[in-house]
Amino acid sequence: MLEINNLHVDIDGKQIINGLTLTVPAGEVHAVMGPNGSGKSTLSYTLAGRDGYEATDGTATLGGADLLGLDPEERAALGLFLAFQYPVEIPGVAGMTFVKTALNAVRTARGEGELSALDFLKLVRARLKDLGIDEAMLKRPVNAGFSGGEKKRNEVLQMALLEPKFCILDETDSGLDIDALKIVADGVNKMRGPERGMLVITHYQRLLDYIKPDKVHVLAKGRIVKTGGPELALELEEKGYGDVLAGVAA
Amino acid sequence: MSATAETVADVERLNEKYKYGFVTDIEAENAPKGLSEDTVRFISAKKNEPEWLLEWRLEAYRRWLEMKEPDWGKLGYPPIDYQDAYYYSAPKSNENAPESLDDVDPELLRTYEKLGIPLREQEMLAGVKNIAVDVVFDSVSVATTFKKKLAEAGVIFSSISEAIQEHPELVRKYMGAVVPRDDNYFAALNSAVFTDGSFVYIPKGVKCPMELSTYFRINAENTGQFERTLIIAEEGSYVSYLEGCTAPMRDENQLHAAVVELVTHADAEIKYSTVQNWYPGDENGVGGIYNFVTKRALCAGDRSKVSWTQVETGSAITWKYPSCILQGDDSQGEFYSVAIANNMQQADTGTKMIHLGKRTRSRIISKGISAGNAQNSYRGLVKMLPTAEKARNYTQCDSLLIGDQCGAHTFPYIESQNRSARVEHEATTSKISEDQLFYCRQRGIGEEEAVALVVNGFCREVLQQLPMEFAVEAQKLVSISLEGSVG
Amino acid sequence: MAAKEPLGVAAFAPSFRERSGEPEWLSGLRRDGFARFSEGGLPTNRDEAWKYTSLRPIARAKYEPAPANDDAVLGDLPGLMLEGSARAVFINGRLAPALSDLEGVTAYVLPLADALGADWVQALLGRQVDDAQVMYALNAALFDDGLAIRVPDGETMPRPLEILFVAAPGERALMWHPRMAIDIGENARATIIERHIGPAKGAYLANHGADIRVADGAVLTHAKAQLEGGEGRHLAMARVSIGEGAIYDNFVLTLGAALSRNEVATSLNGSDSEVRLNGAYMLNDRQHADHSSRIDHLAPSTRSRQVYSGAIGGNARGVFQGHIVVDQIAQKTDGHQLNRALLLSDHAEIDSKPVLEIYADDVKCSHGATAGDIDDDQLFYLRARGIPAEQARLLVVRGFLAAAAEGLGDEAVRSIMLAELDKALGLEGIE
Ligand SMILES: Nc1ncnc2c1ncn2[C@@H]1O[C@H](COP(=O)(O)OP(=O)(O)OP(=O)(O)O)[C@@H](O)[C@H]1O
Ligand SMILES: [Mg+2]
Repeated sequence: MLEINNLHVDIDGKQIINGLTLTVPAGEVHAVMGPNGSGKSTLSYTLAGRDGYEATDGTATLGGADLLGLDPEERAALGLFLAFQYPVEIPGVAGMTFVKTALNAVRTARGEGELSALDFLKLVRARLKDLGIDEAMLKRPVNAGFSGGEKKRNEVLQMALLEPKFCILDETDSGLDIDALKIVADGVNKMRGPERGMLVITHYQRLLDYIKPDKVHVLAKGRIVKTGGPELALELEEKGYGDVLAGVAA
Repeated sequence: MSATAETVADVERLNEKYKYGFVTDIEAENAPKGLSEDTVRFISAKKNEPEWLLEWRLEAYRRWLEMKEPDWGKLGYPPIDYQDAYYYSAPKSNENAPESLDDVDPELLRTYEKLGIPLREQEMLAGVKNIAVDVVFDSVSVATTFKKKLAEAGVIFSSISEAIQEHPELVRKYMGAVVPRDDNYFAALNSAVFTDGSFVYIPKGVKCPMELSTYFRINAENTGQFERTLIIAEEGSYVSYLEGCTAPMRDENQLHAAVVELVTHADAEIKYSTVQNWYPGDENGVGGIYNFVTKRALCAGDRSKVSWTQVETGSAITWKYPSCILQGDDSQGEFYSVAIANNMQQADTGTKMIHLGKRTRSRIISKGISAGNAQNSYRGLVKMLPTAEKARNYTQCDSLLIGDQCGAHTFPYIESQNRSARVEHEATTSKISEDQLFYCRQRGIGEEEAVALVVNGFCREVLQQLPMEFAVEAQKLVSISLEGSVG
Repeated sequence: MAAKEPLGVAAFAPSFRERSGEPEWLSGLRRDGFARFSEGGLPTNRDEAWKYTSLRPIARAKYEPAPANDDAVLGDLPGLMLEGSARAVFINGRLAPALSDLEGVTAYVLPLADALGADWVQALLGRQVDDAQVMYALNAALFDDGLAIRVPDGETMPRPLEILFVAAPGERALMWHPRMAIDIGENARATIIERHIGPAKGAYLANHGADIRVADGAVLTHAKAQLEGGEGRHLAMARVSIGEGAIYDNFVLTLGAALSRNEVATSLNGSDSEVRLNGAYMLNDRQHADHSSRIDHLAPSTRSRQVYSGAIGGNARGVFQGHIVVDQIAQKTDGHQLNRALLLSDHAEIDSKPVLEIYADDVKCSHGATAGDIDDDQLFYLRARGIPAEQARLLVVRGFLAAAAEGLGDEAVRSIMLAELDKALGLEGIE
């Protein structure tokens, strides 16, 4: 499903990702862990097509389609969803308007046609309920003045609404309280399915107690330096990155 | 379909950027070209005006001859040849003023239909609040709707020409009382040659039962439009008034110099909203309306209030500063503005809040958006006079830049002569946020739509001030005006 | 209509004379300066750049050029503001070598007349003058004395330099037009402190001009305490060009003079350069003080910070004009200006005009302006802690004004400026 091969990425002429290779087959959930500044967010932004993240070498495809040449909205239409590590505030734009516009854009691109106002509202209410989010949140401008945890929940809500084919969650667990972590993990688990792939970036093993990954990768210095099963996360939690990094050339 | 997507589709359907750009083929009667005392006499005679008004006009004309065109705005345009324009153009069919809408030239009615202005009262949608409309086509008012219903409430809503005939004492008392005829170059010009406009009088204690609206349309070629609007709100009354403007697409520039005067007595309130969408010219700056407007309100009575809301998206040149003289104690002035300049447009707009009365309050919220090669300036004055005990002002001016060929400028003047008065002014200028655009696009929203969404959010505080029916229109207009500004 | 003689030209014309022995470029500069002045005359409210400050009174005052200092009556000179500084003393606009102490900095600080042959002096003085800079043009035409200060590349001026300007006016109204040329070389550093003092009585006009270059990587701290006499009029204009990565850190404390205008025009010519213009002013009686600034962002990633705070009492009037221009190439500009004024009497007035003119899109610019009386909440808080009302007011005013000095990078300089402020407030030793 998601295939990344020998990817190199520059930001402002500085190489951040150098030779990253990673495959996530449909139906699987892979976790990515790694020290601060190792390039995890850079990878997710690059896949989502953020300006300034220049892939200088390598390839990235989703379901066989080349991602790197596409505009961000085209990638979204292909079914790529990124839950941001730092969700952006958009003053003056009501959350409801925002998700409606996004959903209709994505549906139109997929040839599904727009939802009627009523169906849309039904859908939104159902998802809000699943995630234990108050509808009032969607009346406020997107993320504006939200607490850290509220922003993260809002990301998961949008993910649930847009029903993407492939989800990247960049530290969606950071900032969540204990109950919210469970709710969010439940939401994510509900979305697991044979058609859908997920890349879960996290620093904490705890999330992986709830969202059982098929594989765990360690990203360091812009490359995947180690891959293992769920037990790798436990090992890292215990020992830190020291051992893993020891073998990596600078 | 979302509002913005709808807009984009609309525009594509029309296959032109400015959908009001058509010309109505209608026979018109013009004054001889050029400007002289004779032109002034011609207009006054056409309108069968009393002698005092002719004298008033002539005096304004003489003052205008001595005045200099202002050059302090951040605007560049070739010199205007005031002799190369018509100062009076009236649809011929309107020569004998229509008694009712049935007498109005059907061609005209169709024009307004095309513009989306409901003129036939029965066509008003059920459920939508009723709106009475005065329609000014080139130099004359062609129709005013709902007159009867308004008359029952004691509200006078008519063209100013009619008011001059029917209510000369009111017109004489108030015309020029807020904007003296020699106030500035363009006001003097207007005073000399104004042809029509709207007149509103709300008697004591009356809340006007419906929104009032004037729709201005420039149709004829080489014609200037010089309308004059006068609104008087007596003690304890209230009115909400909206004006809209469009013009055909023409290669030459057309002049529009209006004067609007508002007077509120004690406890009265006027809410004045404008959606200005005169033809802005093409991407290369050919054609478009030169819009030089003097709008001023006198909050004469205690606790009176005037609120100006404007959405300025049209015109090649905009020179406009709706102002409030806060004379009554506890009176309030508000100015909410969205000004969008794209392509080669130039806008220099803002407000003046002159605080005289005790505890007077003013609030200024200005949102400027520049795109293409446009220049957009906010220019404002807040003045606290020594009598303005405990007066307050709050000003927030934000500018947004889209593209690196445009400019955004802020020229505030803040003068305080009262220690107990408090003035707060804030202004920011920044680029449209890449982060916000990326976030929208990651969710699948296309670039143009993402821009429209973010810009509408930026303007929200102002758009919210518009009467509901127009807020949606205005939102679409914001999106259309920015077409082609990205990518 | 007969052409009207521009304001004040007749009053100044007799002072303008050809001077023998000066280099040709300077004679040209003086002629140009006078021609420019004669064209427009003294600025009045009709000139946008002088909208709130009219120099009409100056035309009437009939100032005469100050004679050489021999007969100036002087009391004791005040002590140094900053311990360890070198000092150049000017009496009525002329350098008084006998009163100065330039030990250790003689290689850096020269009388202007001795440096006229240097290319760098010519380059600095000869820069283009804006139309609005009329008094600066007049300064060029009329200056008799000044300093040429130069710190070569990579060097640090060994001692801070205090320039003490003493006004010793006589029976007749006198004027002087000192000129400074300041060149801080690449990666060089210097601290210059100006102090302007004068007696309570006696009319005079001090019309200062300064040409400053802060080269790539250099840092210039330039502070000024304006404590002119009660009948003095003080006009000062500094034009500063700032190179890549350089910092120009300017602070002005305005307490004196009947009429004053402190104008700083800076251009950020190199990328990553920074300018800080800050000021505090306290006015009383019929004082009029104008702080005007112009910042041209002409290179990418440049930064400007301005905070001016004023407390205005009596019948005084404060003026602030701040003008930020961001050129089309100056992407990633970060500019901020703030003007805050306290009106402490019923007849005080503040006029401010903070202009932003922006031609680049990737910028962050903002300005703010406030005017009003002392914050009642603050006052109440202090009084609730047992501080008597009058004392509390002073403290609040002090805090309000001192905030403007926060942007001044050099701590020692900041504290002497605040000490000067505290002296004026009768709060000596508060910090
Ligand atoms: N715009 C930029 N310019 C220069 N360097 C950048 C830029 N953005 C990111 N970097 C650098 O790229 C590296 C990778 O950053 P990234 O955000 O991808 O790390 P991360 O693995 O997500 O870290 P964290 O766990 O803290 O979220 C860091 O060293 C960061 O400083
Ligand atoms: Mg990260």
